[in-house]
Amino acid sequence: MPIHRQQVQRIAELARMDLDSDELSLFSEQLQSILDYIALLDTIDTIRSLEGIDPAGSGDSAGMMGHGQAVEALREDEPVPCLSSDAALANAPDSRNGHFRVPRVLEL
Amino acid sequence: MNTPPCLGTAHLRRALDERETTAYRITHDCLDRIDRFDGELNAFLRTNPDAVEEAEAADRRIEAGERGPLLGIPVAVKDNLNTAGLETTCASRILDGFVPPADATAVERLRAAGAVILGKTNMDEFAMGSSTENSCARPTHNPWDPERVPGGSSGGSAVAVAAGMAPLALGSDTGGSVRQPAAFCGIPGLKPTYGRVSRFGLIAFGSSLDQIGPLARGVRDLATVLETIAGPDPRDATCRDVPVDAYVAACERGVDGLRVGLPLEYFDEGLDPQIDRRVHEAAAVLEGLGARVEEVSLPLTRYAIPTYYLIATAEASSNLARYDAVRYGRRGTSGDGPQDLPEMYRATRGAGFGAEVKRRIMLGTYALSAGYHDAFYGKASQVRTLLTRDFVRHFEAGIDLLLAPTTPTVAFPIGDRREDPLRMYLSDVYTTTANLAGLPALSVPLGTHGGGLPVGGQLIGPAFGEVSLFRAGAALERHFGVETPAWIAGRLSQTEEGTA
Repeated sequence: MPIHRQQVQRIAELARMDLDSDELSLFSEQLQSILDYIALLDTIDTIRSLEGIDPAGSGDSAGMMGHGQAVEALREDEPVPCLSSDAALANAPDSRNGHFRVPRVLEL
Repeated sequence: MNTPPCLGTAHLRRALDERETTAYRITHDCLDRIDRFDGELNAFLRTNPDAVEEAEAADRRIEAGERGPLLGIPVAVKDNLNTAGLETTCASRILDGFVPPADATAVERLRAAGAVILGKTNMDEFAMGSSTENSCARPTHNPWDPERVPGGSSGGSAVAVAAGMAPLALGSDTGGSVRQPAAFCGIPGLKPTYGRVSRFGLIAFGSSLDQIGPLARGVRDLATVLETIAGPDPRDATCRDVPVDAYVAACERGVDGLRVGLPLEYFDEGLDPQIDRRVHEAAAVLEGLGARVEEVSLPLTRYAIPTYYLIATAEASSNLARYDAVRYGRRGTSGDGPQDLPEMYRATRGAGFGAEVKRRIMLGTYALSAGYHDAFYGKASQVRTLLTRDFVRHFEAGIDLLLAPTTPTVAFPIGDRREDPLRMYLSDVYTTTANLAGLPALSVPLGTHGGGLPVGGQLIGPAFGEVSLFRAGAALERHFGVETPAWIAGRLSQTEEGTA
């Protein structure tokens, strides 16, 4: 499945990343050869059937072999100590009055 | 007593508990070695300014009568593991200056046990790579031949240990990133079962694949660290409630009666014949010690790389979406004049991510995009399930562990594969399967090959079957040993204080 320069540009937009012209050319070429290699997956039907296999699976060998439960992720709805406002803001590139500050979101 | 170079923690432990040395002394000597060697090797991104203070605190605990396997022992920590108050960057410009507010669980558990955090080690950016050349800092050099890569992405951690700058290190393994650098640097390294060690505070790359793992100078040390960091954590819902076994004790149990499988697809024409022979030699060693060795088949092995590179990149594209410079991260600017928010995102990520990270984000975004999701990510997930079932079938039939090479080649020269990402990906061919299936895997050094470079062999076990890995790994270590690179021995003998 050939991948065109405009498609690469479109993917970069979806991923919210600026690419310069050299990067666009380089990545088009490299992604092309990677995708050509990944096409190997299309041949698997010749040696194994994918019928009935859940496409949302995650290779869970522990589950397949019956090993323990994932730790219960829910707790009582009681307040517990958490990250302070100061700690949360400590790495902010820009903040004011206890908020993160960013460039304008909407044209008014 | 001068800290002997390149010793495992058992020796340090005895010396500490018998008061022949102090944690202060050991940490000081490690920092001194970092000073002397790391200008050339570049394993560390930064040392911990509080390391000496932490060592002194450990000494006070020892003086008060406390005993513990890691008390006073220095550990190097890969820079994608959060360390409270100590800069953590994932070797990326985008996290330049980021200081985590809290320790990763694994780091917290090491500190509670009295280990000293020595510093943060170099890595491929966001753990994406197999050579540590994708770091935003300089590449790390292999102490066995400084013109060669140490492997990746935990290259800095591997070199810290291999070059005697730290007795222990933590790394992370998503597609081989602990095992492959361990093999290239001649030391043992472990990827635990998925869900054995909490991922809280490990900066995520591929959330269904990532595991934190130790690197050390001996298999027994890996077991010691695993006993300390393993176990459930309410902050990681994928961490399973399975008892932590007696991993250290397992190292003495031998291999009598163990059934070892050699997966024939891992001994293909891509494998260096010297590595092939060495792994078969290891099989013979195990057989001589009472194990039963047999050939098995994992016919879907050749689909592992394409499967991995779809799943890992898809998960990465999602995990790295958070780097938007809103709450943390280095903000990018574009042109002059005010930006709007989308412009800020694009400029931040365009300037902050290196080429490999961008490549993988784009591949992952494509694999998940409308119209391609089922054909790429969906299909890869199905193949992943089949791959996993093949492993499980062997283990359920009574195979205790598999023995295979860790890598198809020995360490390659710096710059050799940078221009060819696909060729770089193919060096992961034997390691990605354990991540896809969530299985534990241990790389053990099997001596050096004709050119003097280390060779690693890999033991793969069933989920939560690390005991078998330690039994076999320790047995192989008793035969093959762990060597010190000549470069290090040479430099140590140049100093006034000499070597032990």
